[in-house]
Amino acid sequence: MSKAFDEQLREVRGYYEHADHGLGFRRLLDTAIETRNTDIFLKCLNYCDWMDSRGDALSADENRERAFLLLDEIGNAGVGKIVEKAPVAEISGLSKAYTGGNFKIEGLDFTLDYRQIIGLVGENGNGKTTLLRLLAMDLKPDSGEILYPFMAGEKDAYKRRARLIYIEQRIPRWFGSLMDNMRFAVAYYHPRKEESALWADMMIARLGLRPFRHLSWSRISSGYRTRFELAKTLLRQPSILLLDEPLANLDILSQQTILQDLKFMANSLTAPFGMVLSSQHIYEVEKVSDRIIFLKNGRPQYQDQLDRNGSEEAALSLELECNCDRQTLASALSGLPLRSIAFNGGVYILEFDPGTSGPVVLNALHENRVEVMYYRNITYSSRRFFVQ
Amino acid sequence: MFEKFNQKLLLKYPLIWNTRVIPVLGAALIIHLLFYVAGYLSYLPLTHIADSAPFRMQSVTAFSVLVSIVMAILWLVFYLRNNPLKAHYGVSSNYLYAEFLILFFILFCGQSFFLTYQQGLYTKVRKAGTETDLLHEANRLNLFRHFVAFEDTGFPIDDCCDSVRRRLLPDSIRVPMEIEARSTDSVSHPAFDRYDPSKYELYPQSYRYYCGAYTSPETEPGTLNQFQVDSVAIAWMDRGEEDSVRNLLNEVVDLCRKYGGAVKFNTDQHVREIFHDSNNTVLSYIGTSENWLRYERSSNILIPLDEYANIGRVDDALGRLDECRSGFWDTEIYLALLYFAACAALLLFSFRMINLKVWFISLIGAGLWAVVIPVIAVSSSLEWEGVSGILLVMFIIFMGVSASAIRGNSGKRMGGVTLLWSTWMFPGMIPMAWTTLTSLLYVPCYQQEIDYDYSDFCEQSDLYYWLKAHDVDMMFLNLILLALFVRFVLIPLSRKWQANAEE
Repeated sequence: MSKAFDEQLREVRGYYEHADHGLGFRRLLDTAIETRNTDIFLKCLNYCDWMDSRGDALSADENRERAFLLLDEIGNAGVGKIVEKAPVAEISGLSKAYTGGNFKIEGLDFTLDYRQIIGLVGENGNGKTTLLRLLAMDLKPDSGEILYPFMAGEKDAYKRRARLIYIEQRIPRWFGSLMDNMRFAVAYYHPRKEESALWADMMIARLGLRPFRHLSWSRISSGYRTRFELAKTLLRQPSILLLDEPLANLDILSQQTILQDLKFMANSLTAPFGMVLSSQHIYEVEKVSDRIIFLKNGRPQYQDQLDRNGSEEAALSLELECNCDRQTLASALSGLPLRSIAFNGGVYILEFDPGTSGPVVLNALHENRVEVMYYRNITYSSRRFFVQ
Repeated sequence: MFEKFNQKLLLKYPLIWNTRVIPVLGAALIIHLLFYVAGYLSYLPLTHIADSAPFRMQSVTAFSVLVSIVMAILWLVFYLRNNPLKAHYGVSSNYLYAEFLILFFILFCGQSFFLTYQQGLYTKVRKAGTETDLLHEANRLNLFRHFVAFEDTGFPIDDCCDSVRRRLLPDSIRVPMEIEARSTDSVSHPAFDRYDPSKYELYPQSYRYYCGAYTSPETEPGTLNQFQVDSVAIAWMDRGEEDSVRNLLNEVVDLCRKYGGAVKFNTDQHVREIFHDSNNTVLSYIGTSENWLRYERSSNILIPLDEYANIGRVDDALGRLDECRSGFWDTEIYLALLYFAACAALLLFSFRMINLKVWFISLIGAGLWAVVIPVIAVSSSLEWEGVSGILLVMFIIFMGVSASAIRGNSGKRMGGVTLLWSTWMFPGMIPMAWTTLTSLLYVPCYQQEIDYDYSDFCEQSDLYYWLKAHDVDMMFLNLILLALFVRFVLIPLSRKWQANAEE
């Protein structure tokens, strides 16, 4: 058995042992999917049915016991063929200008690997969607090159395009039940009928859509529509996933869950993918992204520029919300090397000389009886791009 | 069970599930069956089969079209839900071609209910006339006509061909008759100079020479030809077989009643009249319906007739029975239905292949062309050849532009619009080129047109006749070419178009 798979099984056991059944269940299904074994899928779906039938009567011990039995079987089934780390996309010198407008996206160079997530942030109208459409081959670049190694050897242009999965911000309406739509999508990717039905059922269970599987578009919330779109997309076993504002319609809990799930799925041992996602939710995206690209007027700035490993020590940058005015705040921090105070959207952005630390600032505020409602160190966060 | 079957289709045959071909064809089958039964249950006794109203079927056709429209709308509501091509599910060209063929099949089966009604109606008539000896009744009717004069215009020598009468006539009259039958030579033949129209009026009004219409059922070959009918009639008159004639007259009077024809005819009196002299001279005429007025050529007046026999109705009834027995197969109607299905399938399929915006731009553009081209044609006094020339050139340009733009991945919208225009024009291109070529090959005969208006009889080139003789074959061939165009041009270009990036 693979060491990584073994580690994954231990991780799932850990979740159950710490009574984190929600996450444990999702990760258990992930490990089951890694086996690519339809017998295991069936057992997992039986487990789901059993949980549904028990309802509120299901005890934590009972659940853990059954999950551990299933984990043993998953461990015995073993993992499918593991995909090694490799580049998914290589972008160099990419630029695009719109005819008749003064907007231009330019100077984009980056590489995306399997299991890597790139977060795309920036103010509205700065080229996030344009970049995603360029990557999805929806738009033709003026110059530069987009290379997808996984497409090598595929001569059919339509089939090449079909391997790029781009989910737009506005999810197109679908008709019929959620389950029928899932099965319709999976039928094109898994020609064996029994297998395709199990894949669809597994993905529905994995994304928490089981209670909604027989419902139609109008009867599920926009958050679940996004989940459905993702589930449908993941059945297509993408090499690259391009998501435009996937968090726009989700509540904070759903945002975190979806992002975490995407991270888990992108990191799959047997079916990993690279992902580029745009969002305005900087901190949520930062949590899961391996890289952040900030677009300002179509020009990229990379989070790496703020990296701790850079040659120069960065100036301390803090985001702060408190119950005092600017004057009081300035006087409270007068003993520290404060460079600037900016107020925007209800929070202060404070910048100090390099060498200043966060706890020193908090201590000064505490001593001056300034009540801090919210505090975040954004020295190495792409949030700073918005300030600059 | 239905749900299980539906899920099986969905997972194993997503194309069949998505096109809803099974439920829609099932519905079409049931509707066809209902129309057939409705046709079969129509009230149509033998006395009514000569009526044309039940067979015109305007209301049935209108209802059939309405049913087709409702069925098409309901089907489209389900069919248009999913489009795997636009969702980039990686569908193959063969998958798309199968989808086109399914659309064509559905549209063909869902639009011909009135024909099924007609089949039901014909079956009913066939069944009602099972006992009818068509051959015998046609022979009796033809012979009857020899003994009953309806009009004095029934005596012209050129009213009947191939009859015993011709044998009796002088050569000077017979020759032009034969020539006229071979109409292509009639203009230039010297025999025409000998033709004397005055003999038309001089022919004696005798039952020996009287010639009525002639009925010959297609399904019952072996009817006595006119020569044989004349021979029998003249033989009876020569031999004075009054009973044979009386039996004949009575039998046909019964046929009139059987098929709902009005009749008031004293057969005994009529037999006496036929045999009242050795020349069997016609003494009186009878009408073909009640209150019939006969035109008296010599005095130019209308004379009311006491007696009548509506044998036209017998003729119509025999014709209808003959038609129903032969079954209904009108190639042109089926061809029209095939073309309607093919064009509707092409329009719908193109809607599925290209995005909504480009499709509507193309539709509006096509509407503009449909206005602009007639305006150009009228303002420039263009003939049909000129208009078709313009359309052919436009088709070639659109095809070239779309292929170049789509293959070269430049001008996505332009490529899509021109592809749709050329696709929509394709079904009409070959028939248009065919008729234009036929028209160009036609050589008019100006001199003869002035004198006799016989231009159609002018000798044309072999290619002209070949084109004229094979126009229906060409229409079928065009459908095959359309199927090839969809598979090898439209589908590959549309898939490439879907993959292309916008500028």
